[in-house]
Amino acid sequence: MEEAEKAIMAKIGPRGISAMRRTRPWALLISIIVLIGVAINLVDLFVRVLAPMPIVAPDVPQKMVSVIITTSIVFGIAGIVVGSLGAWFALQYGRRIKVCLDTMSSQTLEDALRAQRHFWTFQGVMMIVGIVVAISAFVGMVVMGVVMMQHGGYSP
Amino acid sequence: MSTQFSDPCREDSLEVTQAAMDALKKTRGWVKFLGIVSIVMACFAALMLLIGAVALATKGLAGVVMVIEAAVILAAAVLYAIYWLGYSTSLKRLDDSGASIDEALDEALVRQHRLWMYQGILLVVVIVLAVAAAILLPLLAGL
Repeated sequence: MEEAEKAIMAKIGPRGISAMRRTRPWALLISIIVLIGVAINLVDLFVRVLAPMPIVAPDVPQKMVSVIITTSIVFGIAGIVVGSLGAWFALQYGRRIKVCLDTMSSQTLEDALRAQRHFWTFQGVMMIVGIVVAISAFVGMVVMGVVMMQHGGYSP
Repeated sequence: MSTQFSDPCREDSLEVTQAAMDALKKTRGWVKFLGIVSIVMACFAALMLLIGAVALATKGLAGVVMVIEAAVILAAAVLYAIYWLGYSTSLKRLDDSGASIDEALDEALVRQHRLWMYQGILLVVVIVLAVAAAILLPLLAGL
Protein backbone atom coordinates (compact mmCIF):
# COMPACT_ATOMS: atom_id res chain seq x y z
CA MET A 1 0.00 0.00 0.00
CA GLU A 2 2.77 2.41 1.02
CA GLU A 3 4.84 1.41 -2.01
CA ALA A 4 1.92 2.13 -4.33
CA GLU A 5 1.63 5.58 -2.78
CA LYS A 6 5.32 6.21 -3.48
CA ALA A 7 5.09 5.22 -7.14
CA ILE A 8 5.99 8.09 -9.48
CA MET A 9 2.92 9.21 -11.40
CA ALA A 10 4.08 12.37 -13.16
CA LYS A 11 6.60 15.16 -13.20
CA ILE A 12 6.24 18.83 -12.45
CA GLY A 13 8.13 20.86 -15.05
CA PRO A 14 9.82 24.29 -14.73
CA ARG A 15 6.47 26.05 -15.23
CA GLY A 16 4.88 24.24 -12.27
CA ILE A 17 7.97 24.70 -10.10
CA SER A 18 7.99 28.40 -10.90
CA ALA A 19 4.26 28.62 -10.03
CA MET A 20 4.95 27.00 -6.66
CA ARG A 21 7.86 29.35 -6.01
CA ARG A 22 5.64 32.36 -6.80
CA THR A 23 2.82 31.02 -4.59
CA ARG A 24 4.94 31.09 -1.43
CA PRO A 25 5.05 34.89 -0.88
CA TRP A 26 1.26 35.08 -1.28
CA ALA A 27 0.68 32.30 1.24
CA LEU A 28 2.99 34.08 3.70
CA LEU A 29 1.37 37.48 3.03
CA ILE A 30 -2.12 36.04 3.66
CA SER A 31 -1.01 34.39 6.90
CA ILE A 32 0.69 37.60 8.15
CA ILE A 33 -2.33 39.81 7.34
CA VAL A 34 -4.69 37.34 9.01
CA LEU A 35 -2.43 37.18 12.08
CA ILE A 36 -2.46 41.00 12.32
CA GLY A 37 -6.28 40.82 12.13
CA VAL A 38 -6.27 38.21 14.91
CA ALA A 39 -4.09 40.48 17.09
CA ILE A 40 -6.44 43.45 16.54
CA ASN A 41 -9.41 41.20 17.33
CA LEU A 42 -7.69 40.03 20.51
CA VAL A 43 -7.11 43.60 21.74
CA ASP A 44 -10.72 44.48 20.86
CA LEU A 45 -11.98 41.46 22.80
CA PHE A 46 -9.91 42.37 25.89
CA VAL A 47 -11.27 45.91 25.82
CA ARG A 48 -14.83 44.63 25.46
CA VAL A 49 -14.45 42.16 28.34
CA LEU A 50 -12.43 44.36 30.72
CA ALA A 51 -14.05 47.75 30.00
CA PRO A 52 -17.41 47.15 28.32
CA MET A 53 -19.20 50.20 26.90
CA PRO A 54 -22.63 50.68 28.47
CA ILE A 55 -25.47 50.07 26.03
CA VAL A 56 -27.89 52.95 26.33
CA ALA A 57 -31.17 51.59 25.03
CA PRO A 58 -34.01 52.01 27.50
CA ASP A 59 -36.46 50.28 25.15
CA VAL A 60 -34.38 47.10 24.94
CA PRO A 61 -34.91 44.58 27.78
CA GLN A 62 -31.84 43.92 30.00
CA LYS A 63 -31.93 40.23 29.06
CA MET A 64 -31.58 41.17 25.39
CA VAL A 65 -28.62 43.45 26.16
CA SER A 66 -26.86 40.53 27.90
CA VAL A 67 -27.55 38.30 24.89
CA ILE A 68 -26.07 40.92 22.52
CA ILE A 69 -22.91 41.36 24.66
CA THR A 70 -22.41 37.60 25.08
CA THR A 71 -22.94 37.01 21.35
CA SER A 72 -20.38 39.68 20.42
CA ILE A 73 -17.81 38.12 22.79
CA VAL A 74 -18.48 34.59 21.47
CA PHE A 75 -18.10 35.83 17.87
CA GLY A 76 -14.89 37.65 18.86
CA ILE A 77 -13.41 34.44 20.30
CA ALA A 78 -14.59 32.44 17.26
CA GLY A 79 -12.95 35.00 14.95
CA ILE A 80 -9.65 34.69 16.81
CA VAL A 81 -9.72 30.86 16.69
CA VAL A 82 -10.72 30.70 13.01
CA GLY A 83 -8.22 33.42 12.01
CA SER A 84 -5.39 31.72 13.90
CA LEU A 85 -6.13 28.35 12.29
CA GLY A 86 -6.41 29.88 8.78
CA ALA A 87 -3.13 31.76 9.23
CA TRP A 88 -1.47 28.59 10.53
CA PHE A 89 -2.59 26.52 7.52
CA ALA A 90 -1.40 29.21 5.07
CA LEU A 91 1.90 29.51 6.96
CA GLN A 92 2.37 25.72 6.85
CA TYR A 93 1.85 25.73 3.10
CA GLY A 94 4.34 28.57 2.62
CA ARG A 95 6.93 26.81 4.80
CA ARG A 96 6.47 23.47 3.06
CA ILE A 97 6.82 25.00 -0.40
CA LYS A 98 10.17 26.38 0.74
CA VAL A 99 11.32 22.99 2.06
CA CYS A 100 10.11 21.33 -1.16
CA LEU A 101 11.94 23.79 -3.41
CA ASP A 102 15.09 23.57 -1.28
CA THR A 103 15.22 19.76 -1.30
CA MET A 104 13.40 19.09 -4.61
CA SER A 105 12.26 15.70 -3.28
CA SER A 106 8.99 13.85 -3.86
CA GLN A 107 8.39 13.48 -0.12
CA THR A 108 8.51 17.23 0.59
CA LEU A 109 6.30 17.87 -2.45
CA GLU A 110 3.76 15.48 -0.94
CA ASP A 111 3.90 17.43 2.33
CA ALA A 112 3.42 20.74 0.51
CA LEU A 113 0.43 19.50 -1.50
CA ARG A 114 -1.11 18.00 1.66
CA ALA A 115 -0.68 21.35 3.42
CA GLN A 116 -2.41 23.03 0.49
CA ARG A 117 -5.25 20.52 0.68
CA HIS A 118 -5.62 21.19 4.42
CA PHE A 119 -5.87 24.93 3.76
CA TRP A 120 -8.64 24.57 1.16
CA THR A 121 -10.46 21.98 3.28
CA PHE A 122 -10.35 24.43 6.19
CA GLN A 123 -11.69 27.23 3.97
CA GLY A 124 -14.48 24.97 2.72
CA VAL A 125 -15.47 23.87 6.23
CA MET A 126 -15.39 27.47 7.45
CA MET A 127 -17.59 28.48 4.51
CA ILE A 128 -20.17 25.85 5.55
CA VAL A 129 -19.97 27.05 9.17
CA GLY A 130 -20.30 30.66 7.96
CA ILE A 131 -23.42 29.84 5.94
CA VAL A 132 -24.99 28.03 8.91
CA VAL A 133 -24.12 30.96 11.24
CA ALA A 134 -25.52 33.50 8.74
CA ILE A 135 -28.81 31.61 8.45
CA SER A 136 -28.98 31.21 12.25
CA ALA A 137 -28.25 34.93 12.72
CA PHE A 138 -31.04 35.80 10.30
CA VAL A 139 -33.50 33.59 12.17
CA GLY A 140 -32.21 35.02 15.48
CA MET A 141 -32.75 38.59 14.28
CA VAL A 142 -36.31 37.77 13.27
CA VAL A 143 -36.95 36.20 16.71
CA MET A 144 -35.35 39.21 18.44
CA GLY A 145 -37.56 41.55 16.44
CA VAL A 146 -40.66 39.61 17.50
CA VAL A 147 -39.57 39.62 21.17
CA MET A 148 -38.85 43.37 21.06
CA MET A 149 -42.26 44.05 19.51
CA GLN A 150 -43.88 42.03 22.29
CA HIS A 151 -42.10 44.24 24.86
CA GLY A 152 -43.33 47.31 23.02
CA GLY A 153 -39.79 48.52 22.39
CA TYR A 154 -39.92 48.37 18.64
CA SER A 155 -42.22 50.18 16.30
CA PRO A 156 -41.68 49.48 12.61
CA MET B 1 8.63 -1.66 -5.81
CA SER B 2 11.25 0.45 -4.10
CA THR B 3 10.58 3.96 -2.86
CA GLN B 4 11.66 6.48 -5.46
CA PHE B 5 12.83 9.99 -4.81
CA SER B 6 13.90 12.56 -7.34
CA ASP B 7 17.49 13.59 -7.81
CA PRO B 8 18.13 16.72 -5.72
CA CYS B 9 20.57 17.95 -8.38
CA ARG B 10 17.85 18.20 -11.03
CA GLU B 11 15.94 21.41 -10.53
CA ASP B 12 14.06 21.49 -13.82
CA SER B 13 11.54 18.85 -12.79
CA LEU B 14 10.05 17.34 -9.66
CA GLU B 15 8.69 13.80 -9.50
CA VAL B 16 5.16 13.42 -8.20
CA THR B 17 4.13 10.33 -6.25
CA GLN B 18 0.67 8.77 -6.15
CA ALA B 19 0.17 10.16 -2.62
CA ALA B 20 1.02 13.71 -3.77
CA MET B 21 -1.33 13.33 -6.72
CA ASP B 22 -4.08 12.12 -4.38
CA ALA B 23 -3.53 15.13 -2.10
CA LEU B 24 -3.95 17.42 -5.11
CA LYS B 25 -7.02 15.60 -6.43
CA LYS B 26 -8.72 15.61 -3.02
CA THR B 27 -8.49 19.39 -3.04
CA ARG B 28 -10.84 19.52 -6.00
CA GLY B 29 -14.11 18.93 -4.16
CA TRP B 30 -13.53 21.83 -1.75
CA VAL B 31 -12.30 24.17 -4.46
CA LYS B 32 -15.36 23.40 -6.59
CA PHE B 33 -17.65 23.92 -3.59
CA LEU B 34 -16.06 27.31 -2.86
CA GLY B 35 -16.48 28.26 -6.53
CA ILE B 36 -20.18 27.39 -6.43
CA VAL B 37 -20.65 29.39 -3.20
CA SER B 38 -18.98 32.34 -4.96
CA ILE B 39 -21.52 32.12 -7.78
CA VAL B 40 -24.36 32.15 -5.22
CA MET B 41 -22.74 35.16 -3.50
CA ALA B 42 -22.43 36.90 -6.86
CA CYS B 43 -26.17 36.37 -7.43
CA PHE B 44 -26.96 37.89 -4.00
CA ALA B 45 -24.64 40.82 -4.76
CA ALA B 46 -26.37 41.38 -8.11
CA LEU B 47 -29.71 41.45 -6.29
CA MET B 48 -28.27 43.89 -3.73
CA LEU B 49 -26.99 46.07 -6.59
CA LEU B 50 -30.46 46.13 -8.10
CA ILE B 51 -32.06 47.10 -4.76
CA GLY B 52 -29.33 49.72 -4.23
CA ALA B 53 -29.99 51.20 -7.66
CA VAL B 54 -33.67 51.57 -6.75
CA ALA B 55 -32.75 53.03 -3.33
CA LEU B 56 -30.31 55.46 -4.97
CA ALA B 57 -33.10 57.88 -5.83
CA THR B 58 -34.69 57.94 -2.36
CA LYS B 59 -31.95 57.14 0.19
CA GLY B 60 -29.16 59.51 -0.94
CA LEU B 61 -25.76 58.62 0.59
CA ALA B 62 -27.05 55.30 1.98
CA GLY B 63 -28.09 54.28 -1.54
CA VAL B 64 -24.70 55.25 -2.98
CA VAL B 65 -22.88 53.24 -0.28
CA MET B 66 -25.12 50.22 -0.93
CA VAL B 67 -24.50 50.36 -4.70
CA ILE B 68 -20.70 50.67 -4.23
CA GLU B 69 -20.67 47.81 -1.68
CA ALA B 70 -22.75 45.57 -3.94
CA ALA B 71 -20.61 46.35 -7.00
CA VAL B 72 -17.38 45.54 -5.11
CA ILE B 73 -18.83 42.28 -3.69
CA LEU B 74 -20.17 41.31 -7.13
CA ALA B 75 -16.79 41.89 -8.82
CA ALA B 76 -14.91 40.03 -6.05
CA ALA B 77 -17.34 37.08 -6.08
CA VAL B 78 -17.27 36.74 -9.89
CA LEU B 79 -13.45 36.80 -9.91
CA TYR B 80 -13.37 34.32 -7.01
CA ALA B 81 -15.71 31.98 -8.93
CA ILE B 82 -13.51 32.23 -12.05
CA TYR B 83 -10.30 31.42 -10.15
CA TRP B 84 -11.80 28.68 -7.97
CA LEU B 85 -13.64 26.93 -10.79
CA GLY B 86 -10.60 27.36 -13.07
CA TYR B 87 -8.43 25.58 -10.52
CA SER B 88 -11.08 22.90 -10.02
CA THR B 89 -11.28 22.30 -13.80
CA SER B 90 -7.50 22.02 -14.06
CA LEU B 91 -7.54 19.44 -11.23
CA LYS B 92 -10.20 17.46 -13.07
CA ARG B 93 -7.93 17.39 -16.14
CA LEU B 94 -5.41 15.39 -14.08
CA ASP B 95 -7.80 12.44 -14.34
CA ASP B 96 -8.55 12.90 -18.03
CA SER B 97 -5.18 13.94 -19.43
CA GLY B 98 -3.50 10.49 -19.83
CA ALA B 99 -0.18 10.99 -21.56
CA SER B 100 -0.15 14.78 -21.09
CA ILE B 101 -0.47 14.52 -17.30
CA ASP B 102 2.76 16.48 -16.74
CA GLU B 103 1.32 19.46 -18.61
CA ALA B 104 -1.98 19.16 -16.74
CA LEU B 105 -0.05 19.15 -13.47
CA ASP B 106 1.90 22.28 -14.40
CA GLU B 107 -1.36 23.96 -15.44
CA ALA B 108 -2.98 23.03 -12.09
CA LEU B 109 -0.06 24.56 -10.18
CA VAL B 110 -0.20 27.73 -12.27
CA ARG B 111 -3.94 27.98 -11.53
CA GLN B 112 -3.42 27.48 -7.79
CA HIS B 113 -0.75 30.20 -7.87
CA ARG B 114 -3.26 32.60 -9.50
CA LEU B 115 -5.84 31.71 -6.86
CA TRP B 116 -3.44 32.43 -3.98
CA MET B 117 -2.34 35.64 -5.68
CA TYR B 118 -5.96 36.73 -6.08
CA GLN B 119 -6.70 35.96 -2.43
CA GLY B 120 -3.69 38.00 -1.34
CA ILE B 121 -4.56 40.96 -3.58
CA LEU B 122 -8.20 40.85 -2.49
CA LEU B 123 -7.18 40.86 1.16
CA VAL B 124 -5.00 43.95 0.61
CA VAL B 125 -7.77 45.68 -1.38
CA VAL B 126 -10.34 44.93 1.37
CA ILE B 127 -8.02 46.45 4.00
CA VAL B 128 -7.41 49.56 1.87
CA LEU B 129 -11.16 49.95 1.20
CA ALA B 130 -12.00 49.47 4.90
CA VAL B 131 -9.47 52.15 5.93
CA ALA B 132 -10.72 54.49 3.17
CA ALA B 133 -14.33 53.93 4.25
CA ALA B 134 -13.45 54.55 7.91
CA ILE B 135 -11.91 57.92 6.94
CA LEU B 136 -14.23 59.06 4.16
CA LEU B 137 -17.68 58.00 5.39
CA PRO B 138 -17.71 60.20 8.51
CA LEU B 139 -16.48 63.10 6.37
CA LEU B 140 -19.19 62.53 3.74
CA ALA B 141 -21.86 62.13 6.43
CA GLY B 142 -20.79 65.47 7.89
CA LEU B 143 -21.31 67.31 4.60
